[in-house]
Amino acid sequence: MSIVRDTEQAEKGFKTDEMVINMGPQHPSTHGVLRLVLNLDGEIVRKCEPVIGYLHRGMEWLGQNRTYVQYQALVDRVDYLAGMSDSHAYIMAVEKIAGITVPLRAEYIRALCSELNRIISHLLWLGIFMLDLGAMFGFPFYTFRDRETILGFLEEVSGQRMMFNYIRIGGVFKDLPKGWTRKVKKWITTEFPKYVDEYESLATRNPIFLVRTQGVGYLSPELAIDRGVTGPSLRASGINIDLRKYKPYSVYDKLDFEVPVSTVSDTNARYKCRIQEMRESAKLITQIIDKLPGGDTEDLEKNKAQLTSGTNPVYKAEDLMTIAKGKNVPMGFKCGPGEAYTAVESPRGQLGVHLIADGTSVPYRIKWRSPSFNNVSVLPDLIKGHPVADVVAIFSSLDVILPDVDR
Amino acid sequence: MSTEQLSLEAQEKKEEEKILLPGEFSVFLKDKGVNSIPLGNDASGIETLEIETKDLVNSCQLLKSNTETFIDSLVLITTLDLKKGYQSIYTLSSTKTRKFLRIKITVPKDNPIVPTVTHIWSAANWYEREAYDMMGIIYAGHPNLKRILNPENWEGYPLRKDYIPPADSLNGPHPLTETEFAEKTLSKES
Repeated sequence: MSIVRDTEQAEKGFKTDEMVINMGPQHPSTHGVLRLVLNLDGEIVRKCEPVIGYLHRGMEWLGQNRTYVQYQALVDRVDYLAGMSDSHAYIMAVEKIAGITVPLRAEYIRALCSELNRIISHLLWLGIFMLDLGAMFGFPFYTFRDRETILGFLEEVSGQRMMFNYIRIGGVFKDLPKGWTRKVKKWITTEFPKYVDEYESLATRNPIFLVRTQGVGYLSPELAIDRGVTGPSLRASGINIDLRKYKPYSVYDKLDFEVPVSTVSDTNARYKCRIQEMRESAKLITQIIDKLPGGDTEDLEKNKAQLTSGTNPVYKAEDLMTIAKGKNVPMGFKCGPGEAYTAVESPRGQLGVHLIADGTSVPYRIKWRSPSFNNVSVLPDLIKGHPVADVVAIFSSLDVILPDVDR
Repeated sequence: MSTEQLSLEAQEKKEEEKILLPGEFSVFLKDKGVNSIPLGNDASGIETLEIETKDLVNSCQLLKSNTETFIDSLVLITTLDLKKGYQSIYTLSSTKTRKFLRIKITVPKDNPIVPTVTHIWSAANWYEREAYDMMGIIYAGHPNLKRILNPENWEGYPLRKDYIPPADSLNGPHPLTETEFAEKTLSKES
């Protein structure tokens, strides 16, 4: 048997054996527990097979065994870095089926918190990405410093640092704290842009960083669409699809912002898109705070009567509430029958919920469309032909979070 | 209260009437010779239609290749356990026209085989593996149909409504006694 194989190889010319290397699941740069089975030809990756499921918690099974209200608290765990987006997608699906109209103020607060959440997620990604590339001088400390500030803001709002459970059926948990919007606006306009400049001064034109990222991990737009890649990874491939503009939800159609797009399609482009997205999110946050119906909670308390009374009031009384009237939902909240697919633009891409309700207080079926699941499925094509050292760089540039993949 | 209920019923009836109208994609498929049952728009405004299993691959190819519909991305495959059988639900979208479409396929419970669409959208590869893993629907022609989220030696398909989860060692005893559990699992196998 071996003789036959040897002669076959001799006919084709000299060929070294490929080595199969197991990377993970407990690998520090796999952002959770991802296992990659790599076929190596020397240093070059010839084949890669991702093995997922190590963080599978059965989110869909749990969903169809809990009531709508109980499940609210769980959905933040689907993608723990973007809890607001998770809640937003799920709650939107429930509201679509139940036919609940959300007060304007609550919608603005949702968008505001989601944008803060986007910055948090990108900051964590940036720190870890640099660490994965070998920037061992403590880059994450810079990004974590600012991430901690925003986590503090969101803690004041929701009472939690990461698992917010803030967006509820019909609106939000409660109104913003007094003076909060002023504080956030001051920080986001004066200090945050300086910090982003600081990160860029450390990375963007750094020669080592450029060598590690430029021309590495080319993702063609055709493949990206075919595989369902979304988010900054798709936009770095030249396709301008951002659900906030593409299929506007919440109040994003009333806001003016730009979607960063690059046509370079490599790791560096994905980095630049995310940096630019943080700046755009900061602009969005100031804009939302300026447009927030009723303004800061402190002002709202003083001016509420003035804003809603008179012959031609600025706002209806319902607009200034934080939860839809009469929709302070009890535990046995019932919904349906009906079916809805709602998607939001999470920091990682299109995060969707396909909810099928049968009219009871428990969802009949809930299906998550998580962006990381599709983004990680494209990894084998990206790393083919690259050296082992680039595997981590490319994987990290896709911004995959494993709890989001496994659900 | 009663008047509210009445109005709700009236609304539902109106919605049922709407459902009978075939949507844009349903008309398109009919022109190409594929029959479909229009199910109207769902709560999020997505056109839903049900087609027969044998027409799936053909109609997907038609929808993708036609320049008007240009359904170039598969957003999601959802599986559903209904009394009449298992459903494989495809949520599709077009990056050009920004339209969404949902196609439903129902297969019998004793023989849940659906043709694969992996060769049309490669995103289907992992979605179909997940659907197989969770609901036990077999996608004929799939290049690598094996479990994706659960361990390879996992027994049963967790999202089926008759699934009995294994005893939870952390949260106390199993709701069924040992004999009951054995009986149920045996009857399921036979």
